[in-house]
Amino acid sequence: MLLELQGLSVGYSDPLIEDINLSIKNGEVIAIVGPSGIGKTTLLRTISGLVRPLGGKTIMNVEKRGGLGYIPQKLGLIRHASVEHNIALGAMSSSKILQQLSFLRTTAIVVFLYSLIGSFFQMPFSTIFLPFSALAVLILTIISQWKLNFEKQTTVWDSMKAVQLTEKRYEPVRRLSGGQQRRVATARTLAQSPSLIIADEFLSELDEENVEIVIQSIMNLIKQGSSLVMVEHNLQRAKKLANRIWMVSDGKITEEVIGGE
Amino acid sequence: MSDSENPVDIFRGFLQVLKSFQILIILTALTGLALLVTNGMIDGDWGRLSGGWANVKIFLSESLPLDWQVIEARSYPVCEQEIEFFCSTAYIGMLETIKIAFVATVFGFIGAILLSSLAARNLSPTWLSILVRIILSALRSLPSLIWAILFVIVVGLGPLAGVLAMTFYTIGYLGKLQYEAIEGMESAPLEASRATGLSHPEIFTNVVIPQTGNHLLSQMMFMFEYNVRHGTVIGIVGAGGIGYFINNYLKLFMYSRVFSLLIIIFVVVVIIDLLSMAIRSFVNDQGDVRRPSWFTVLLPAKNAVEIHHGSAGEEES
Repeated sequence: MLLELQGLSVGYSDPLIEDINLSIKNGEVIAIVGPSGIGKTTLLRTISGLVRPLGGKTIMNVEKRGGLGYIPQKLGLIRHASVEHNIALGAMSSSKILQQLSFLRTTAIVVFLYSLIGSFFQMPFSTIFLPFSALAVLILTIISQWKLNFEKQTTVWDSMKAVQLTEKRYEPVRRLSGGQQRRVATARTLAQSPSLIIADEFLSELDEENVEIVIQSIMNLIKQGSSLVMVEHNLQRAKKLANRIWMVSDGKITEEVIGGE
Repeated sequence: MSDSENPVDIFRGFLQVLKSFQILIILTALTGLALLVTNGMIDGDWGRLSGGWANVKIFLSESLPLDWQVIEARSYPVCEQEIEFFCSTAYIGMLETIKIAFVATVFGFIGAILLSSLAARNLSPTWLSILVRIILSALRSLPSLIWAILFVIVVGLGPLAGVLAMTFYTIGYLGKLQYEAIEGMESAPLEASRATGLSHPEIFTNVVIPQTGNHLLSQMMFMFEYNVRHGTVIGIVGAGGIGYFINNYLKLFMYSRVFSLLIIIFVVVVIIDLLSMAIRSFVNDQGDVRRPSWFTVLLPAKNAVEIHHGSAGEEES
């Protein structure tokens, strides 16, 4: 089982949805349907680990780093950064080498700070550590950037191609249309290639052409074994895409099995 | 009785009218309060203001005309430069002030950005952010002048004391501005990257810095400008820069030279501001949208819009 919700209650101070007992397998598409303000987004945020559950628990069998891809309602893009940079964030979270480099660099920064402050107060080893830690921070930063550039050449380029945004590679995201921005968010998830994708109304406000591009790209990931949990207001589209529909009403979820494409 | 004559509705209508003037009412109340506090502080003796103008006239008469000898070569040491200006007190003093401000801003920025990433509540656990905030407050609670006096005692007279003083103050001041800018950023990019499992340094360098770059740059440029201005003050206590010369001229009652140096500081501050505007334009929305012309800024909204659209049409045709 990829995700298991056991007696889960979600909300902020008062529960919005209670006693959720549902599960998701690999390669499944789940559409969450229900009126606005009923707690769908809160449920997604709870599953993503951003909000503490009010009760029950979430058991997730995905990798801690890069295993979960989250597309928030507001997309979560960095407006002033380029399309490439935004997509590279996805590739970064799925890269183990970058994680190890990041850990080493953090350690080197901590040692450097100790040496810097320590040399002023004449703390032990501080003057010996100072040049070595500074050199380590520099070298690790260069290696991380080199590795990230390599990712940009391969994974990021493929994801950009899938959502047809290669021409906008260096454009700041703020200059793109709403539809193009949604495609960037999709490409970020593609570059990450997570086991579980959580998407909050990611098809809303899109024209038919953009919907087709985004669905095609995500469905390619599903075919490779990823699962998708999405909030969808268009019931027809939800029935077309999803294997199961979670209907939210009166603080409870009822499940409807569809079959999906 | 119709609805509109109902006393409750009339009162509600009155409240609505008051609400539309709320900013004006708040501003008037605050101004009134400020005047009341001032009145208390000066014991109601507003007559001092009327006598002030005479003092301004005396000061101006002693300062004007300006003495531009400050941009000519000093008599000692002998000038070996081809251009005399490079041996002048204005150039030597200003250059040293700018150097002190530059070094302090760079070191201060690095220190502040490391600490502000830990002080921002949307990036760090509460206990850590409170601890770092206390450190930043401690650094900020002493003005740069006091830091300068302390460092003059520690490392002696000269620009090093100025650099250290300003670096410490910059970390405290800039750190606060930075963590507030970080806390004000949109939560969606943070949530998206946190949910995917990116580490704190990765989120900070790849999400927070690009997203708040505009604020961080503008704050850094503001701090540089601030440090240039304060370089004049800390020079007075012997920490180097143009303040050293200002202090000398003040002691000798040469107000016209002091005034000339102040004008030079003003020009440098304006140049830094223009530089800041140019640098920030790379990371904000400026240039994406059409800006109003000076002419339309001064007109009432209706006419401004008409002219704005009219001129847009002409440009397109």
